[in-house]
Amino acid sequence: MDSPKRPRALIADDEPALAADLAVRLSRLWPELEIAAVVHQGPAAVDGLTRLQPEIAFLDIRMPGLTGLEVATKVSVPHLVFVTAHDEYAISAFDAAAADYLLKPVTDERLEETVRRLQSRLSSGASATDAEALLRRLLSPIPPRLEFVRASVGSETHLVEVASVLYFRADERYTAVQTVNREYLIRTPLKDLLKQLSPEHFWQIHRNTIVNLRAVQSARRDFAGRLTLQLRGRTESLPVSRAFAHRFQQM
Amino acid sequence: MPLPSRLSPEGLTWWQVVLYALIGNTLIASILWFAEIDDSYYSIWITSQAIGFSITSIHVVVAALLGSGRWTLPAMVAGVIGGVPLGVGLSSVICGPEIGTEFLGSGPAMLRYLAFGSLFSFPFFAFFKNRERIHALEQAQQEADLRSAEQKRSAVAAELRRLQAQIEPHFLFNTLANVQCLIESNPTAARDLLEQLNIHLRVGLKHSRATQTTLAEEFKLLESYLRIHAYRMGPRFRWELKLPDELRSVPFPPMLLQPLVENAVQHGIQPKVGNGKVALCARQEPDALVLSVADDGVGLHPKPGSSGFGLANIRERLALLFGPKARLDLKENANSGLTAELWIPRSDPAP
Repeated sequence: MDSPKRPRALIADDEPALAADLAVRLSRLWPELEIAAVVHQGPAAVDGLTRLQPEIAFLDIRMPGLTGLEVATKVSVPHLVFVTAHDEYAISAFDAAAADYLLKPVTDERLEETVRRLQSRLSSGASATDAEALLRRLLSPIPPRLEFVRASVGSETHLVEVASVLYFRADERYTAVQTVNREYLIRTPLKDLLKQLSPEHFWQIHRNTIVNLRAVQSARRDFAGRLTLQLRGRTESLPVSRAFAHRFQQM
Repeated sequence: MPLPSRLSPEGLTWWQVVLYALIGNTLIASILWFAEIDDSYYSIWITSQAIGFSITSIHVVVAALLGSGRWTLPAMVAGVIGGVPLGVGLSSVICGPEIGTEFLGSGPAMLRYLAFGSLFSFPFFAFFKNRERIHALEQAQQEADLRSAEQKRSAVAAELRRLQAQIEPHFLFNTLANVQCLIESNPTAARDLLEQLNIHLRVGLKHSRATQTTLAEEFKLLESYLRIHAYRMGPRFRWELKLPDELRSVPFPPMLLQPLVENAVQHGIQPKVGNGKVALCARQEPDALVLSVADDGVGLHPKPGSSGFGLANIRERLALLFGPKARLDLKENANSGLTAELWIPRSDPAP
């Protein structure tokens, strides 16, 4: 046959029924399209895309291993179509990076439009060359914040949600993590914690104490000018050393 | 007319005033005695009490007539001017007429008594005034605490209503997409899936309007949720529910357990390559009802910008509904995945 090479596509969706259905409907709407592979996980998608080099990829966003967005940053695909159930990722933002995006449940009408769009892009030789860089920028932001600390309780490892911590207090060997219900002991030094905690909510108030501001009820100054913090629903109060006292002047 | 228990809204109780006056008068009597007033301690003490209580009583009456019942300067002046002669009179009746004769005998003597009365009344006045202020501050603080607790309660309740009202669009549309494609390829499965979605929505809607449901109802809701995911994810997903019969009718607030199951599926199993299982189990410990949600998923894997898993809301509601002893523990499993456990103390019934 001397007809032009048949375009090939990879479909990645972790829900088998949806992936199979998309394959069936695509072959009905676009018989020339060859479905090179149907996969159900992020890593398998990367593998398939690398190996088969298809012109088109239909990528689900939420997938095991790697999300569709992560897959797209790892392998370059000429024409990307994202398929998702909900526009949680501000889909319009990567309108520029992808050839198209589809919202589930996908209607035949909408899928036809996608097919037309892909066909015209294929024939004009257009390609979203800037997709990777754009996606990487979308994915990379936000410096990591500590959300949980791991603490041993007997033989178990508990995960303590940082937002639920009232204060961290260091003694010689451990750091005590106080929550409403319990005190946990961890080995992470205070200064390492401080770097990873949100500076808006966690303040160091003493050489050995970091307090969660959301837990603070009031700041009180005694006759000698020493400042202590009272916590909501707690009886203990936390001393604020002079070096950190200025932060509470307004309270 | 019944007496109010306090002299003013923020003031002292009757017995506190009597007690303080008794102590204060005794103190004055002792000072006078040490100052070598030429009389027996007994008669000095009686005179001090008589004058002191007269001043106090007149003060209280005048303060009440002036309206507020608070310790004010005009009431004190009236107390001294009226109370000193009255007290002297009383003392003369009890201890003999000498003191009365002395008081009435000369202008300077009368002035001296009034001066002493004012002098000794002043510390009292300052003391009572101060007590009133402290009491007012305490009351204001208590009211502020109450208000902030109430605000917090209503904020958490509003958040709950929001949670109850929303069904996650991702879940709904993905499920509908599955129904849509199964209708052709596997109509039986499509019908089953629709039926589960129907149960899920119906029970969910009922729960969204309730403040209390039962564990059996809650498990029914979650079973439909897990069944739907089993259809969607295929054979790689397994699930298990364990609810002992004796716990079926235990009352339970809605939307406390569901976020934990959703977390297990969405953050544990869905991102995992390979098979995954979620086990939901209720059990009775000696002092608490325990609900555990265990998965063998990817474990803690917070993505940047993740929503924080909704745990803060669960904790706040636990505290509001069951008090500070209720807790949510999150543990890493030995092999893989997480276990979330709600501990609800037995003795504290939900309000």
